[in-house]
Amino acid sequence: MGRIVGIDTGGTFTDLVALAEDGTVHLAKEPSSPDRPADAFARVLEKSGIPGTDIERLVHGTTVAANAIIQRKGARLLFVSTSGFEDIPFIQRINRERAYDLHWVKPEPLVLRSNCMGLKERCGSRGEIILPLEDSALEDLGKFIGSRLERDEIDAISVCLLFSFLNPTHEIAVGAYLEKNFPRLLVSLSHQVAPVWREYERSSTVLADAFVKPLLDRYCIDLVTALEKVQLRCPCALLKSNGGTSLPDNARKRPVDLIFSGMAGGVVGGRYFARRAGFQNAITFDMGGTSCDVGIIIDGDQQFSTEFEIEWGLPVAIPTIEVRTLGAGGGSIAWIDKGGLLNVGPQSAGGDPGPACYGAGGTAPTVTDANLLLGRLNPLYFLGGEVPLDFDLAAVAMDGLAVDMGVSRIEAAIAVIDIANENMTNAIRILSIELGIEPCDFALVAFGGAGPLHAAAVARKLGIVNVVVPPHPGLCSAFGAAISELRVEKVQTFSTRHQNVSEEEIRNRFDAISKEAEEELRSEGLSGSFRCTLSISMRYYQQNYEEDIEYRKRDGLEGALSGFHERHRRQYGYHFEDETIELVHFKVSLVEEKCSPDLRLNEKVAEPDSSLSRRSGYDVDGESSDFFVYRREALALASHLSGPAIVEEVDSTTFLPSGFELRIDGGGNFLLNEAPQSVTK
Amino acid sequence: MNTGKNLKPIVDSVTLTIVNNAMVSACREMGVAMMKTSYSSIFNEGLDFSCVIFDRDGEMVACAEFCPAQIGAILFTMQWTIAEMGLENFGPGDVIMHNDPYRGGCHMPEHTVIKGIYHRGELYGFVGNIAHLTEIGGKAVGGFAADAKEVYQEGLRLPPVKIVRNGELVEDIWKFLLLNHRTPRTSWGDLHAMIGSLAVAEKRLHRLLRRFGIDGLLDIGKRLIAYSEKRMRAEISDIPDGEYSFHDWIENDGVTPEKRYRINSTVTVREDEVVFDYTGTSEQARGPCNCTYGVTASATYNAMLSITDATIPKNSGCYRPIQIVAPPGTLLNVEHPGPSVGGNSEVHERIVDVLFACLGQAVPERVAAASGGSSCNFLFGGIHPDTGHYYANYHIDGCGWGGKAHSDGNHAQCPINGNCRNTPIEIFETRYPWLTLEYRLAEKSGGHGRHRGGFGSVRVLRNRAPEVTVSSFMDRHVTGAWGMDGGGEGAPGRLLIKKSGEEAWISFSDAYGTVSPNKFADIQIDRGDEVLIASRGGGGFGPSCERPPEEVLHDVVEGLTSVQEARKVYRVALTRRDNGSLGVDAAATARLRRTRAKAVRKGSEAGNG
Repeated sequence: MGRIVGIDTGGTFTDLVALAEDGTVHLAKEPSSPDRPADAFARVLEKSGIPGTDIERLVHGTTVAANAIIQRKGARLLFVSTSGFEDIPFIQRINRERAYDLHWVKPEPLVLRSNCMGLKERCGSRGEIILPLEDSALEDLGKFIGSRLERDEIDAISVCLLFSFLNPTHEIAVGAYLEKNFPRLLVSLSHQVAPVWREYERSSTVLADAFVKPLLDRYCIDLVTALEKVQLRCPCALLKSNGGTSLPDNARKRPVDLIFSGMAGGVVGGRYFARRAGFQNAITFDMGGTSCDVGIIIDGDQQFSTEFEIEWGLPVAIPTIEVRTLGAGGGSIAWIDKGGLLNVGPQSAGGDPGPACYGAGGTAPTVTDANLLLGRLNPLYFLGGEVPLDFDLAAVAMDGLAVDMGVSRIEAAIAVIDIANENMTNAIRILSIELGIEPCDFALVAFGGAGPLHAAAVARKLGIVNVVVPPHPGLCSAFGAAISELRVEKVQTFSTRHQNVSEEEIRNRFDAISKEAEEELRSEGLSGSFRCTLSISMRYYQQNYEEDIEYRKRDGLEGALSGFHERHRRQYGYHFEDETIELVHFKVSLVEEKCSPDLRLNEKVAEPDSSLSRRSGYDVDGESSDFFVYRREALALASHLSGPAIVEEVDSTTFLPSGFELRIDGGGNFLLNEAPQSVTK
Repeated sequence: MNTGKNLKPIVDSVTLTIVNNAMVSACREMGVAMMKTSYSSIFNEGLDFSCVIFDRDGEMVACAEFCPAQIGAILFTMQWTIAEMGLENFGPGDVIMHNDPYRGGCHMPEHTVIKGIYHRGELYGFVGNIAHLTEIGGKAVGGFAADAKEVYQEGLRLPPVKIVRNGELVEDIWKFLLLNHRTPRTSWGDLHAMIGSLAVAEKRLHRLLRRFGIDGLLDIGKRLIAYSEKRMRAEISDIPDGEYSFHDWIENDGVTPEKRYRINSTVTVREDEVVFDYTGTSEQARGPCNCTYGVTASATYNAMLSITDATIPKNSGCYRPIQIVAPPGTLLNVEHPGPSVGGNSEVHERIVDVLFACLGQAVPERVAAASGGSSCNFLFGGIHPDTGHYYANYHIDGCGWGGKAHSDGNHAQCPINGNCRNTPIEIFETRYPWLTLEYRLAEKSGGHGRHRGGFGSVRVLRNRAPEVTVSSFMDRHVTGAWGMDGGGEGAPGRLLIKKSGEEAWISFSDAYGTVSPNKFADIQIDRGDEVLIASRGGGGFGPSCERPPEEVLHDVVEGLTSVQEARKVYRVALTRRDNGSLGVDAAATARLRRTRAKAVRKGSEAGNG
């Protein structure tokens, strides 16, 4: 048995985590290379010094696909729709991102209008063929494609025909025609990419898939080339948006699955550490330089959404780990609005120029500057000392703000942190109501470079009792990639009312989807056993949003229906016992069953106060305070600290306000709780 | 913990931000809960509702901006209800509802529910929401009696009544109400969504009350209101003082032949205050194109909030520097028993356009040319052939928006009085017996200009049921949306029918003898009949000959304008390159544009520029 390795490409760094069989952990870090991401990937692998022959499994989380879409640097597409509906990508859903903004511009589709072609065919709402697809229509399509190819205007084709999620015959025929006549063009068919209803959402998804296809193709080749040097004995898998993995040959066929690859690792990693610390329900809180990703773990597993948007108005309707990103990070800029009130973010100084204290030309006061001024960051040990922080520059930036507010520098810094924390708190609350949970029943797992600095204060605001800070918080995404399991999530729309469907029909439908899912799982290299979860998205007839309710074969539909009533009552305070329930989507989730690795971390036996130092700083309420400062690697298991205190490590800093206590559990996690006497405060 | 009193100034300013964000967040949570639990499409796809928190003086402290149409009216519906019920008659666990257009409402489909929030037995204020019910009885299915002559034809009218008392549904009211709606099951689901969501916001408010105490939270609320007022006054001060007038016409009222109705506005800006005077507007119409005062106020506030800093917290303070004069008995302040269902849906956006035209004389860079200004209200219902049950649907479309000083208008976008989504065709056809033949941007519908007007959309529907009853309330089918600063006019809208077996598209007046071709109710159409709904395009902004040639080229390639139009209207000469693609002929374009500039100069010297 060899090591399992996770490599995560972030905006600033490419991180590597390698887990050996005996539980020891090996880390490496290299600056990312945005223009050629595979370079940093190769370098970090080289730097780690792990021979390729020693690697048993390698998983890579990447932002290549997401960045291509956000920067609109992808394939030149041709879009095929049902005739009469060519403008679906342009009309969209007719709503706008916010009210009272005349100057807002609709999201730009991933295809030019002149490259959209309507096909004479039509399928109806019961899957019936209303207008058959004739050969002549396909020939028209061929001519249209030919004319674009002649001028070298397209790289790939997306197809989305009305009701293809119910009856894919016509899309299949188009696919076969294209393969025969244009074998070199990359093609995405909507019923394969996302067999769900809502033509705009499905179009947007299939457009995104084709848009990143040529790029992912090249990226996979680059990776393979990079790996040849290290003589890897296993294939390099890519982390999918659902937290599962995909081998390059599969990923190239369905690149849409990789769009949120970069965000999935954090949640998977957070899930692992939550479970390890004994929490089945947790909110993952990944705060970095520019943004904060919040995920939810319920009953020990990540949650999924099929309503993800790459940017506002550009949905991707595939099962994606439920993560919300908010514009709150270390680089978030504090500013005074015209009426004199303080705001923080969503504008960010990013990594370049970064916060004022980076000394790279940034002058706006940021969250990181505030943390530095409050004594919560060590200017000489930020990223282990790689980025020295300039206290004076932070002070100058904050003074500008303080003067405008008419307060002291420290008061301004306290206010900046408080508002940033409050913004994150509100965002977590909104996510909670959408998911129907109470944050106070959850643990908060904080990681990312900045998460552990803010976790205690955010938890207090949310009424959360337990905070977990995993070891190496800055590497949690790479860690998540390493330990990710094989998993396949399938969703298919089949809209019916509960009285109109038989148990047998439900089972047949699930069997068909499960079979396809299992094939996919095996093609990813599954050798052992897997766990299968069936669920049905339900709602009261005429509602528009569904709840996923597990379907257990032994309880049948009856059991699932009562599960829905119960969920509705719990979530919204009422339910309708005799109401018709509409079944909308059938979902199958297959997850590889494997033992989570048992890590050996922070097992140093040292005196609890061996590296103790003191630093003056300011507590949550602005009181000046003397922080005890620790190095994490020097803390022994079962250490017990009381706030106010700071624990530093290479990739993150944990802030323990007064009133909080910190313990280290057997897994090396920090557990932060409010001390009993201060809970009553 | 803080009590809200004796706060240090720094804490005070941060607390304001924090409480404002928390309150807005609570209102949004209320909206999310409604969206997820409601039954009708106009609710859960259309998001046609607003959510608010009021203090006990009836002042709005926070709101969530789902639908701007109600943002002014909800102030009045809440204040009216509080005044009429009397504070002493509210109790914990009571929910009051009303929909009376003459008590501050927008129009009858819009129902308001409010609930008092008590902290240790003392009243803090109210949480409430106002939302559009699809079916409320009355003469036409879907609450849109477009040919109504009196409010009594428009549906079931309710004064403020308790529908929940001490946490229990008041059965008598519910029985009575649901019996009068055509689709009681939908109303039942939607009303429960509205009431259920109040509890969500209530919970958040209790958290704030525990933290700040009742006096503390009231005090913070007042400061937030004062803060917004200060911000709004500063914004108004930036608008040059002066008197700006404009007018527009509603083409017909659905009832009276050959009569149009004037919307007249004079906007007077003096230092940090602004007066919107609608004197000169036509007397109220016989048909339902009238606006309640709530609608006129909502439209006025909507226009002001759209041209001022979007970061100002939306509360009562925003409205204090704004005065509205809307003479009673006119189109913009309807009196009993005048009908009003169309005012909120179709006239609101027209008022906003008129105000943009007024304010554009002072601050052209902040406004837009006229928008299509319609959601193409089309209603239908009947017995569903698959289920045998009564169904009703309120169908909407987007329209083109006007060009602006710095960008083109968006295509097919919900008009400014709402922020609704369209219903996906795949859901629409699953639920209703129609086949959609076409849904695309309306050719050449956007006005020309340096910044183009957005395009409207065209939808063609074929009836698949033995019979469907349809109603419509649309306008601006004769004159298009105006351009601004030399921009061109957008294309007018169309509503046509093609009878089964016929070839020609004809108007509903020609087919069924309706007084108005676009405002009618209760027309039965047959299986195979096709309906065409074309929404209007937006007006252009700035002279066409100032549009950068590369953008004109892009428009031609993308099918938004033609080579001929590029030459004639935009004065851009295009030429075909060797590989067959189009390019700009720079020299010829320069020549064309020089000639144009000369002509314009000559024109203005002659005094007709």
